[in-house]
Amino acid sequence: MEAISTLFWPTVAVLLTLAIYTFLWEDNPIYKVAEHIFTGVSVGYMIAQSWHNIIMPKLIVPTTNYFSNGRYLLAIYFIIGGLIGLLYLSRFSEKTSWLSRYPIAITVGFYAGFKIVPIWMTNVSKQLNATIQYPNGDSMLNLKMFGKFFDNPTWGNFISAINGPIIVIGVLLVLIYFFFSFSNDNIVVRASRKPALVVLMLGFGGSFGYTFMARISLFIGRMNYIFSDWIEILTTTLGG
Amino acid sequence: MKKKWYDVILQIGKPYIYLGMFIVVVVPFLAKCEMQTYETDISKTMYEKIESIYKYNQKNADSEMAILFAFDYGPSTTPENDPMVYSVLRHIFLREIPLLVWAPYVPYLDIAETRLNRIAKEYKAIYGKDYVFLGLAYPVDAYMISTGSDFRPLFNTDYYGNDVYSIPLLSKYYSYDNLGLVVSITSTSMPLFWLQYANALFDQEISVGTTAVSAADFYPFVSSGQFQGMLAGLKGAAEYEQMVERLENKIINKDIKVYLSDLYRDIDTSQINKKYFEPKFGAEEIQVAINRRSQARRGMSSQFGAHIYVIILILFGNLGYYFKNKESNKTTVTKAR
Repeated sequence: MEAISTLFWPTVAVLLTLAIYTFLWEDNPIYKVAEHIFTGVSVGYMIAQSWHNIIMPKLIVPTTNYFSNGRYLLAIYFIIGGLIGLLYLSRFSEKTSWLSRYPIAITVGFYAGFKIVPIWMTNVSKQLNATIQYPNGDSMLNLKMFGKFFDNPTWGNFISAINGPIIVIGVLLVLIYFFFSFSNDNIVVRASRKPALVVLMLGFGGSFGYTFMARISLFIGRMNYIFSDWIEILTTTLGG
Repeated sequence: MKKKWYDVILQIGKPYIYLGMFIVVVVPFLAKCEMQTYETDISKTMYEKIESIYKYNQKNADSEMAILFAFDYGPSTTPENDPMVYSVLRHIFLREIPLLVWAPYVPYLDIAETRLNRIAKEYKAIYGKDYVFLGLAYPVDAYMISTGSDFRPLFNTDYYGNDVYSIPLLSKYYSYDNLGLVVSITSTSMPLFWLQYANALFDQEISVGTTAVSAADFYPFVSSGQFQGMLAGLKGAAEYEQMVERLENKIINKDIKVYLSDLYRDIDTSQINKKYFEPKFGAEEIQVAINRRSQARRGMSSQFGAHIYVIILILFGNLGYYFKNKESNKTTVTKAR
């Protein structure tokens, strides 16, 4: 009996995995069953987990605790927060749906105001700095690196020498490519068009390569489950 | 009319192509192939950062630094993120660095809890003293900002319902002041939030382990020094796994099977709280733990096969189209004459 319970759920997982992969042949009822089970289980799980991990411990329990401890102001603060959150549900009725704009406005307003400085620092100023100098303070266009390469012509020194100039020139080329404030027949724009495309294509190629690796990794994950974990459980359980 | 070779290639059905992919991915698993991989600078930087915290803690026993570990991924990307988590957590537990853990979304909680306790068990780590699972940090922005001063009022309790003020580890570690590093293992854009709040506002150092899809987006932040290293996809996980295996062999200096079998054998397990993990290892569990130590490297041998397979498909597909077009152009010219 214990062997069956150990083996049962992993085997269900294997069967459902195979059911999903049958879609590669063509759409079929087995795939549909697995898809519906997945959607239903995900939603059910999310609702139960949200209740136990958000609504109860972060709203109901603290509110009741504050009430019982006589800290009424804190309890009211939680109740107001909860009520504003509940306004999201007003979207179920056309008549009251305008009320949902209040929690949305509070959320958007907070993030729009609070995030301006951090986003500027993270995505603009530090990135701009990184196009001018390395984290150690050396300039990106440090010609001494070329001197080092000519003194000792190794592959590593070559890469170190060209890395900075490629980044600086690449960024400038792509910026010019997407600069539409004057006509495209300007000599600078025309001359930079093809090299900018090469830089962009290199970037997209890198992204594509990584995306391919990610998708294969997911497939490997399922195969790992079947051919390593499940087989291991199967042989251990049936082997006694 | 007899079919040309390129017609045959261009007419191969999709199911057969998928079947080929299945074979190249599965064969390395069945053959138990493991691939050694070269270690890139970005993975080494992350490893060295954790080592530097260990060295700092050795010298400053009264003001040790902790690591905040964020489980920023869900079930859909476990094949990529799990091996990263296993090897980074192993590194942290091997070096006995105090560890705080949280997860920002509900579906990430179970994943975080099982992985954390699974690895903690392999090093006899004690809950509350060596590590703590704080549970859900939602909405994460509020928790990231409040860690600038004290995150405890937002949590109230840890994941298991223990009062955060009663947990020994949390009496010392509750803000960025005592955190040597934040590690975010992710499949989302969460590392950017960490940069925007923890790094930009509080100068907190951050390391990232990300799925390959997001890796290209995060490279600029690694080059700029905003991230202290990055594990990029399964390859990054395999690199870290390799580095941690060397460290583990050096520290434990024992066969892992023997080490795990003996771990709880001669100690009084009644003192260990069984709420977090069962202090014993069964044969099956030991085997799975051993398999997990090379999960990413076994995956990389399948990746290798899959990449070669796709390169061959792209080459043959393009050659087929090239010769087919050449043939049809020739036929059109002949007919026109």
